[in-house]
Amino acid sequence: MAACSSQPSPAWQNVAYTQLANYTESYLAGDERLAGIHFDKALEHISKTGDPALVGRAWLTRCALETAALIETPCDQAKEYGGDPANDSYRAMLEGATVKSDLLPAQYRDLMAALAKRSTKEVNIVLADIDEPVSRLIGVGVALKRGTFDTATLELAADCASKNGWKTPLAAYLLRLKTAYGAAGQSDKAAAVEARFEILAGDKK
Amino acid sequence: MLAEKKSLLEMATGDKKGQETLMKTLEQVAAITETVDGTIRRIDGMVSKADEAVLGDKGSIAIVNNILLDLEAKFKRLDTLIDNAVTISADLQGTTQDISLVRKEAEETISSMEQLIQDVRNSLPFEQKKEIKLP
Repeated sequence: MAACSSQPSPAWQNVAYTQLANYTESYLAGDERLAGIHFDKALEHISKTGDPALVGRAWLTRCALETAALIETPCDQAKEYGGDPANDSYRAMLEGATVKSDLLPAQYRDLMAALAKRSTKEVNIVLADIDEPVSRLIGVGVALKRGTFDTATLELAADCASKNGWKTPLAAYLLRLKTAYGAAGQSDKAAAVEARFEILAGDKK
Repeated sequence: MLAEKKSLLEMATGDKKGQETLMKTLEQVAAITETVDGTIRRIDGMVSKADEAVLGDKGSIAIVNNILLDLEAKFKRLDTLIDNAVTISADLQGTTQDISLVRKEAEETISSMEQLIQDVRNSLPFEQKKEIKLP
């Protein structure tokens, strides 16, 4: 098998990697049309391997980004390509289930431990510690699904999305923040969030 | 921009299949432009921290530079192709044959550009592993 892997990486892998990265950026930045083109292209090249675990990973990427954007997603396509233990653990995590963290990507292990303790304070610390911004927002989506979060979690997520210009998740976090501040009677904070949201909405024109 | 061109195409040609394939090609052009953007940005970042070995006459930068010149030429070609596509769509005499010819040329150019981008990647010493990982 080792002799069969080409150096540098095989063409399908290079293309699929770039297309998935472009899909991620386009989706988060709010360009769904371009995101769709990139995702289809990535899938087309990954499918050349005939490997269900890899195809499953592409669908899980999509599912994870939707989770980060607080969209209820059934992960149906990812389920179709189930069977790979790491993929299945990841999907369970996205669904908000309690999972053993040893099969998860390393960046989520501390988060799983903090969530198991139901400590919002610890969850926020651990989330702020996740370096990769995409993973941090996916972590936020998971924490929200588990119900272990507060306005600080949402502020942390909004800050991260804002810095990266990721309009889609940012809009979702701001909406949640507005509701939360409104419910807590913090009208000045709610108004500040509304102002940020209006700027985002204006961008759609 | 592409959406506007579609309505123009619809007005000009009666051939739905031809329009759709052409639209698809144009969308590919948009997607590939973004890919090139990313690659060029990575090269920019690399240059800022490059050392002598990279910058030497036969170093990666020299190779990458040649490839970029080639890419630039191909982009100009694509530009012309897109202009042609718009002209055909505006010309009521334009036939399906013309559209499929433009499409073929565009696809061929895109494919060579993809190959060139691949060459750029393979020339970069700092290129990270392109594993398909869970985010």
